[in-house]
Amino acid sequence: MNKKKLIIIISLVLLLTGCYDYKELNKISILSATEINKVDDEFIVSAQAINPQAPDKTANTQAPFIIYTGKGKTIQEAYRNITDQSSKFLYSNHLQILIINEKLAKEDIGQIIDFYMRNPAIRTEFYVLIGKNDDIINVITPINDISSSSIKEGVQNNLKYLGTVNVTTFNELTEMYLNPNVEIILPSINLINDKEEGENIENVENTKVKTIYKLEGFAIFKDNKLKGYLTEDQSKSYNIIQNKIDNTIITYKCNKSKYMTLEIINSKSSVDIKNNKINITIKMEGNLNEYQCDKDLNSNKVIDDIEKEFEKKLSKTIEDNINEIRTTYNSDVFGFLDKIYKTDYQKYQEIKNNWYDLTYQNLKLSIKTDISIIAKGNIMEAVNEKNK
Amino acid sequence: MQTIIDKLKKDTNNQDPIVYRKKKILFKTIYIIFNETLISSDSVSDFIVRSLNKLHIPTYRNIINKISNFKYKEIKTYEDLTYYLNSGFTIILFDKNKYIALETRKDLSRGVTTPTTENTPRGALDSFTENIEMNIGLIKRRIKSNDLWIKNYRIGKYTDTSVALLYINSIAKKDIVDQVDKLLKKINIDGIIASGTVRNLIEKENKNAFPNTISAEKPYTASRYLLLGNIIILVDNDPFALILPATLNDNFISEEDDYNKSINVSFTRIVRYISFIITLLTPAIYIALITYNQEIIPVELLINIAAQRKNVPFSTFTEALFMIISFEILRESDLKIPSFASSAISIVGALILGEAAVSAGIVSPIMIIVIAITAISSLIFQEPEFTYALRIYRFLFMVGATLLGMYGVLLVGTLFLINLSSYNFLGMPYLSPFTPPDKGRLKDSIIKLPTRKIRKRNPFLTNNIIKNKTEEPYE
Repeated sequence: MNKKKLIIIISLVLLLTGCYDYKELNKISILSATEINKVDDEFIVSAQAINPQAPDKTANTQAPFIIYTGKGKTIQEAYRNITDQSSKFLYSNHLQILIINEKLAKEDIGQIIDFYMRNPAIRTEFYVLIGKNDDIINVITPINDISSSSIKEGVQNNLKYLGTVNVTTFNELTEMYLNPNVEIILPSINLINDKEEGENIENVENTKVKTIYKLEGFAIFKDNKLKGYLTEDQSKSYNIIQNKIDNTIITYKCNKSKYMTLEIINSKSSVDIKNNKINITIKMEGNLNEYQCDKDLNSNKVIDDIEKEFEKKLSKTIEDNINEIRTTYNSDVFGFLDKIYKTDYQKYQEIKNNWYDLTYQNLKLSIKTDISIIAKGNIMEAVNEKNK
Repeated sequence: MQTIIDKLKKDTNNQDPIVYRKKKILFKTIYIIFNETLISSDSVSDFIVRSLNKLHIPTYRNIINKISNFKYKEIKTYEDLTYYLNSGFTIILFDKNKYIALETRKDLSRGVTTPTTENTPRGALDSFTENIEMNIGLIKRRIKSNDLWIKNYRIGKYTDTSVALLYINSIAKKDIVDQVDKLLKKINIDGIIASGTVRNLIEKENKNAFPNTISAEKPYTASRYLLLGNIIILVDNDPFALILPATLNDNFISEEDDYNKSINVSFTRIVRYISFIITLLTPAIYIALITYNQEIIPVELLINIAAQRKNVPFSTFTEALFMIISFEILRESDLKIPSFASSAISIVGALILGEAAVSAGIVSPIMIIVIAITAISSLIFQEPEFTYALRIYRFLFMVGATLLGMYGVLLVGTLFLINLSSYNFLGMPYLSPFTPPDKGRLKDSIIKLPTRKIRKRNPFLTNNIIKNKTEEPYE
């Protein structure tokens, strides 16, 4: 083969892909959020398309985003039906959140996972939440008026400073879905007040916003069907056990009517299962942020006592929460079976068939917490003491 | 003797400026011939005529001994006679084939002035002039060694221009000197006026847009490269010395670097390399991201860009092309326009490349930022040709991005690297010292190590590798 032919062949191979993916920015509409519901055997897909506005124009008269809604027997069909309403190509690579309505979640979320895994045009890094209400993405949110980014940042912030929800990307959901030893658990979201008002741009014109979303505790699944919701306290316990959070606060009574709050700044936990006993060790470091009782905080002994108090109460809370979750939902969201699968395969073979019937409920719990207070703020003793 | 005068008169169409003066000393008749436009009449009358008048016995030896002119040449042929006559010498025709050429040149060149193209905050302020002898002198002042060898050539059928090849004999590679020597001797052209012509005649011009020589206006730069083993070509009547062979890295080195601490130099060099990448790739990457790979841009930024581009009816490529061409026109006119009118350019330029273009709905604001950073980064290179070469590749990258997105940018990038790394001049790889890697010179490339640690020259340029033997004075 002579050189010219080779060059022609190479350039054909390299260049024949030309322009296949060309799309001008003016011709696309960026989808940032999707909400999926099912009514009467038909999927209803709402898509939030961003309506780009120049940042310098102060008097925006248009809504920051547009909601398109489509119906179809499959999710793809519903998506395509949206295209009728839009003058631009709907570009879903920047999808940030997916909200699955609880009614659909109660049926089966397998179809949704199938659609998004199959679709090559969608990046699977978006967050998945369970919507306790319809049309959550329709609401115009204050400060960051695009609700999808607002929710996304809200979830991140919550995980960072409060720890009652957790960041679950679609990839993580898929992992949970495909792993037979783990049950699915997803954060949930709800609307406060009327959604009709939230759709109007006037929603953000007042200092007190009428309609706004609220992140709530985890939605818990069994066999890929939604079973119920955890309280915030239970959610926090779940996050602590799963080693998902570093920063949160825990509050307990220090005497009959007064409270103390510890800000956790560092938390590590590990789960170990041996001889039908779950050993959970939690190690935390924290700042004593609020202390309402009268005790001399200068004394090491007092601090030790407070630490012990916290340890005891936290262990108790976590144990209660685990037991309650077990008995109410009988769903292994903690991944205890997965832990056995990874550490003791023979044992796993023995128990896997009767896991829920025999073993799961009967596992004993032993929780060890080690809390150390590393700072107690600018003042040495409780303020009350000085006033005496 | 009369025949020679007749021949000269015939060859020169008997033009007025050539003066033939007959002079009789005792029984001997001699002729004094000179070209009025080139000589200074003071020196002719002061030195030549006066000395001849004092002469008693008119022999050839006697004239040479007595004449008070310092610089003279004994010449024998008619060709030499015309050359010296046209170079501002005064010729004394003594006899057939016995001529004396005496230097009486009028000073037609300007003095040594400050450089106009190589501006550095610090550093020597002399620059080359149009006089080749003065230029050689300026270099010689810096390199006093006898090893600074000079080869002289006369090129051009009509211009008969002096060209000098300078190198340090014990440093420069003999191969390279011989090669250039051969190339220069091969030149057969009607005339040479610019040093650029010489360069174009000896290089492989069509192979690559990047310049493989550096033109230096300062004797400082020329001397610096001579010490590294490069060779210098000086052309009479041209105030720019050619340094060859040059590499890519040489374009990132400035005289200022010698004055600063290595750590500061390193930072500046990194900035220069970053601007090299910026000016080459920014428009292409912008086009690729906006038209193919939107998923890479963070969504908040994408929304902003989408809002800005909402009212622009053109494709991103057209938009970028429009802006780049506007900028090139602006720069070209800025070079041509006299400095007193340059404020007009900046006013009009600000309109085309600014808010007015945005308001007119032709370009988006972000495109102006993209082009502005591209343009400003391209201006940091001293060698104008380097900037021009970057312009071509920038355009190729843009086409690649428009046709194939990021993949196209990578594809053109691969071709670009293949092209550059296969490019060499006089055996010097263009990407040296990066590829082939040369540990000694890498110490003075993207980062500069302390001067004490830079001990070697480039082995492609010289066999005399060690450059610096200063011992480490501190523990």
